[in-house]
Amino acid sequence: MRKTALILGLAIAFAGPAAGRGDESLVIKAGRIITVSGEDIADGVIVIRAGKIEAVGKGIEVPWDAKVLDATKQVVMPGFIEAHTFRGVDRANENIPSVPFVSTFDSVNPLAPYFEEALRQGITAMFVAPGNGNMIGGQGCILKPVGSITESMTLVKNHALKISLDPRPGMSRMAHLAALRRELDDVVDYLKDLDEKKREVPTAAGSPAAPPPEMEIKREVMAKFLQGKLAAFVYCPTSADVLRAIELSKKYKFKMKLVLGRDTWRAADDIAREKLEVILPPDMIFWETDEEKHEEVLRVLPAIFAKAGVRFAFQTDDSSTGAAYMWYQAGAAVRYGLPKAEALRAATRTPAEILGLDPRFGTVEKGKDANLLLLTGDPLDARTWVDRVIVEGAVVYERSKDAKLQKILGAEK
Amino acid sequence: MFRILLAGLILVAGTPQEPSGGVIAIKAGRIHTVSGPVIENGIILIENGRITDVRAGTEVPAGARVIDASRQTVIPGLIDTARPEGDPNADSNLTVAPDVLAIDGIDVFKANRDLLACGVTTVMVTPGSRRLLSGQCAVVKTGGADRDARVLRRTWGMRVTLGEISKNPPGILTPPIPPSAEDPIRPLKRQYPSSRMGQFAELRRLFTAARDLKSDLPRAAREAVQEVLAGKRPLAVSARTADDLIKVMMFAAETGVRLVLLDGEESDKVTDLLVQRKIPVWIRSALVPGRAIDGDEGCPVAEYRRNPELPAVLGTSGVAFALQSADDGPSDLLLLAAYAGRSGLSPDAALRAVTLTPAEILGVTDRVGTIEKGKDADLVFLSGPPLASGSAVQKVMIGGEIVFERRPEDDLTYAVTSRAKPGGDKAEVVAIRGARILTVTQGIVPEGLVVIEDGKIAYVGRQRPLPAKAKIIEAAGLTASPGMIDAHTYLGFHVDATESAVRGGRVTEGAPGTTIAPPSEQIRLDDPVFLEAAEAGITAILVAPDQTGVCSLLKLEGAKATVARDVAAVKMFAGGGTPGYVAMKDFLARARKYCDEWDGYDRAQKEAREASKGAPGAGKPDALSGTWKGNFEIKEQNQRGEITLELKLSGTAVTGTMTATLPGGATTHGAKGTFINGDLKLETEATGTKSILTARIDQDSMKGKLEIEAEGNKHTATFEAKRPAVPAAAGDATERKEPRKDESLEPWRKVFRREIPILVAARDVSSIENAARVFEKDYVLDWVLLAPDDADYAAARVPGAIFSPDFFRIRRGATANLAEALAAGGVPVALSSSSVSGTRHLPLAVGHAARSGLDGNEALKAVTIHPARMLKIESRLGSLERGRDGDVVLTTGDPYDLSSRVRYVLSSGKIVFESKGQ
Repeated sequence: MRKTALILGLAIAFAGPAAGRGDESLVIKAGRIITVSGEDIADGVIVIRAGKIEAVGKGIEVPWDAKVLDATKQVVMPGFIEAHTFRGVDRANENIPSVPFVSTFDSVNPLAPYFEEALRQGITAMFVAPGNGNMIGGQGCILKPVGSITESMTLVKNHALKISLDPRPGMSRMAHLAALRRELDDVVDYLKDLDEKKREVPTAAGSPAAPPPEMEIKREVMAKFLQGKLAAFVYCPTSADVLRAIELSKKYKFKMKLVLGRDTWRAADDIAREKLEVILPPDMIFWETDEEKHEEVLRVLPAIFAKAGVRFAFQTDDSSTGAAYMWYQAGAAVRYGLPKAEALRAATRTPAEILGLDPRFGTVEKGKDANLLLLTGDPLDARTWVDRVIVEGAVVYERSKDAKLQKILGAEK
Repeated sequence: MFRILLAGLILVAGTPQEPSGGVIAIKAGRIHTVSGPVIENGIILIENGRITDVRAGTEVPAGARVIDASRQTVIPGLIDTARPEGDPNADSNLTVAPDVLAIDGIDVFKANRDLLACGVTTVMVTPGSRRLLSGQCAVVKTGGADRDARVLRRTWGMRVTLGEISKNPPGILTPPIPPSAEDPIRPLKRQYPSSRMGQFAELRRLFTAARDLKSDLPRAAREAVQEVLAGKRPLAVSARTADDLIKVMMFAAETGVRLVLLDGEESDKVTDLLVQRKIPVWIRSALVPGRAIDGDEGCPVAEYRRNPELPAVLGTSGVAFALQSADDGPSDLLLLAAYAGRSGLSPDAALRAVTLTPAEILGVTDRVGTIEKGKDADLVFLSGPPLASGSAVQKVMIGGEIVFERRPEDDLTYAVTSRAKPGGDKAEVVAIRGARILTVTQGIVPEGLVVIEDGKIAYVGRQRPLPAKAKIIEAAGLTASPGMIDAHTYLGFHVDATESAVRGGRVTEGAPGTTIAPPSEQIRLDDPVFLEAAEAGITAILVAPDQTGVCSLLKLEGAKATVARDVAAVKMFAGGGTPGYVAMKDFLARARKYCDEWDGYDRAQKEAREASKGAPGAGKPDALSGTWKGNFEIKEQNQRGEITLELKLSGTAVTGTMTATLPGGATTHGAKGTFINGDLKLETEATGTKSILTARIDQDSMKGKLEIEAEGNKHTATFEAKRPAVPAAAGDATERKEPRKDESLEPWRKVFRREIPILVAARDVSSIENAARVFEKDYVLDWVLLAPDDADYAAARVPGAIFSPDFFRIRRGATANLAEALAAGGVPVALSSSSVSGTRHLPLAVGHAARSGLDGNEALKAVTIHPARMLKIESRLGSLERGRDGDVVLTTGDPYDLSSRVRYVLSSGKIVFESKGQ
């Protein structure tokens, strides 16, 4: 008990400023609050207690013991959520095609620059998944970029399975799908066998009871998946792959979210019909030569999917261009026609919903976790800085104390 | 191609589909049903994507949406084989992979425009060919909005490939995870087969394993193979050599599987077995149109022998065979089917081999393969008979929906190349399509295309893609001929307006009664009579005076005429007998002298100009400069020699060289001196000698003394030298007198240069003979006889004749057609109105001549190419050829047919007349 207390104490000590946890409250006086769930609130107040938002609104009474954060010239919004990434690990893919039993939990490096950068850019939760190179890549975890060991960063361990419909180089799509089906059939047969064996077991009369057959560890993950207890994130590089993913999910009865590649916009209506949620590729606005007219056409994926009525979240990658930043993706979408509220939602609320985190994250609402960004200006303004990041009620990042950033900027504000 | 338009996906630009409900009626010129005889002028009725009726006739049910294909041929959609996209050889590593499905390799979002452009509506998609058993084939359609309707068979047969290509598959490495002592990592598992016995052994092993529930075959694979064994699915085997074919047929008999043979290059050697066992063969064409044949995939040893007559051999021996296009992408299946006809395959059998027979092989005859009631409305609309080389796929319909329509951009050559010319795509293009074209000089095009660009004919031929902005005149059923030329008319002259000018106006010292001014200056170009003539189909006229004088050629381009040549011909009258001859000859002599004078003058001018431009640095030729050659004589010593002086004068100073040639040799010295007032003084100096030359210059000769001082001796020589005549300097030319200009003789300069002809009006034989003598023997000039009475008597001497409508004469009690008489004798004959208002009735004269014996073609030539040649303007008028003026007349029948009506008249590419109503 004392040991636990000590550890807890240490943990708390290593965490950020303690206000907002425990019984004390943290109050933020904000110039503008983007709630994402409703209208923006100008000159509002957020009261945080025990890591949760206790109240949001205008003219709320401030508790006498509250620590007040002055953000009257700043904008407060929910933290960005990255619904699918494979950064923060050493290598995203394995050598052999089917490795359902691996998990990114084992490969996350808390000291990776990605997590540090995530805070700087306002990402407060991310789903770190295996890469697109394996047919069945393993499981991914939902993390927050706060903590020194993976355990403390983890929000949900082994949240979903990753499947990729992208054939390896040298392999045809048909062979890839045949191999995938073989794997799935294999598991289905195995489960059927196991069921039969389980039923058969208590028959031998007079012989020492053999232990009931247990599932092989290797198979556990796939079994959970095909029993509907584990969802899959399915990567589809082209539109035809989307149709095949839908077909597979219907045949094998599994739940899935789609991670889309560039050329998937033609299947937007099919996705809408199946009411699937998607994660857009980092490269989501591009020019392409139209097949029929041989003219250059600009494809704007956010606009296409919004028009089709599909719910989507943005994705970033580690490119050196703007696609590395969530706010940039949102801004680019707005530039090419998406309404601003929808763009911000695709970076906050929708990924929370996709990850099943929406009871806790994604909006500034009473009862949700206090995962907030304090920005120096409008989130889609390129001059805006992330001034402070609050995760679960604690200020975990302050720009003024960000040594690396200050060094780059020459200690200027 | 019509994109799959999904609801709300506006970003995919497409053309809207018609509603699926309702009846569609296709009125087709010809229908090849394949199941029965060809139907001419028939109707196909379609409802809900299926054919409800096919019959002859033109009655369309009320309320139906009509597609007019009355000038097209309709055939069933073609059936071909295809590969999935991506690398067709990216098969799985496994030598036997029955659970790989070809349908997984198909992208339903792909437009398949290349397949549809060849008329292929259904394809059998096979997995790769590099493994023994690469997977299951699928049968799908190449278009259509309804995705489910597009899949005819999700899995059809199982693809097996025999032969060298599927031997030696790669090894398989499947390391266990984690490896352990019981389950170590094993080396690469070698797969066989590498020989034919291995291939068959592997197949047998597969069949056995499929029956054994405990085998390690994946479930899907096992189920598929069991279906093959049960005969529910065929084994689609690609076998090329004769013994592979035989072996696989034996194998099929042994195992009881249903067999379909693919490729079968040597199946002509085993036709008896094929017929006996009723095994169909889907043979592959050896050719890819548009590609050079480069051998069997780099194989140094021939594996099988290709028989080019394979289709015919199989056809005659009764084997059920279908034709597929070669690998590497779609190629023109109809073209290949037509080519198969070269070896004797009947057109019916060829068409069946790409429609009904493949449908039978695939077992999808309930839906595709023929045009019959109850089948899917998969139709191909062709511009001509299916196996004709010029027929193009114009529209493709799948399930009642138009999924492909040929666009002008599909043939990009014109669009791409015309944009290369500056302003090329701004050219005004008029195209006359579908008419019977009488080119006059290059034969008849039965149903062709005339393209006029910016007023000139750019193309005459069968078919050519047109730019989008072209104005198209649909002229099916009409006849196109060149605009007519009236070779001799007084059209445009009106009594009050031009009387005085015609009858004497600006006469100078020419012969009395001669017109000087060309008619083009005397008439009004916007005279309404020109429009009337143009509307009758006459697009060019030669306006002549009624006396001797100049004739002008006008182009009738609608409301206003334009002058093509103001001096286009000269008209004169020839008299008979000796006086007539003499008069003509004198006149011509005078004209000739005048022309020579002027030509000489012009030539001198030209040469002078060129000389002054010529010699670089020589300056103007003057009194002294140049080369002087002469002799000198030293009297005392009785020595003679030659002297050459090269001198250059500038101002009064002279520089140059002097060369003295003596029997002993020649010596050259530089010289310097002065030239003042005709006196030349030159001094030369060289080592040891010094000479002084003094001379008097008179035009091109000089005379003088030469004092030589050499080795202390002094000699005096006399000399004279001459300079070759220099052409008159430019300065001189202006002083040269210009000859007097005689307006009445000016046109004759063109005649003597043979740029324009002489129209000679000569009535009787004697006049004609005089004219012939003058213009053929005395002077060689181009001339044509006008309205000759006795032309037939003088036929041999006449180079051409222009007749007025009055060309009948009575000879020996019978009516003779003089025009015909001359034409039959090979003399070019032209017909003219020779009147003030008769131009618009010229076609009547043409028809009359044709009716009265003149060959129809000759009659047409009489108003087109013959007058054009006579007037030396055949580079612009008289025929429908590339480069000529865009003068076209469209008539309902032959232009020389009296009851033909004029529908359109185009002059220089502009529509001058368009008849209204039927």
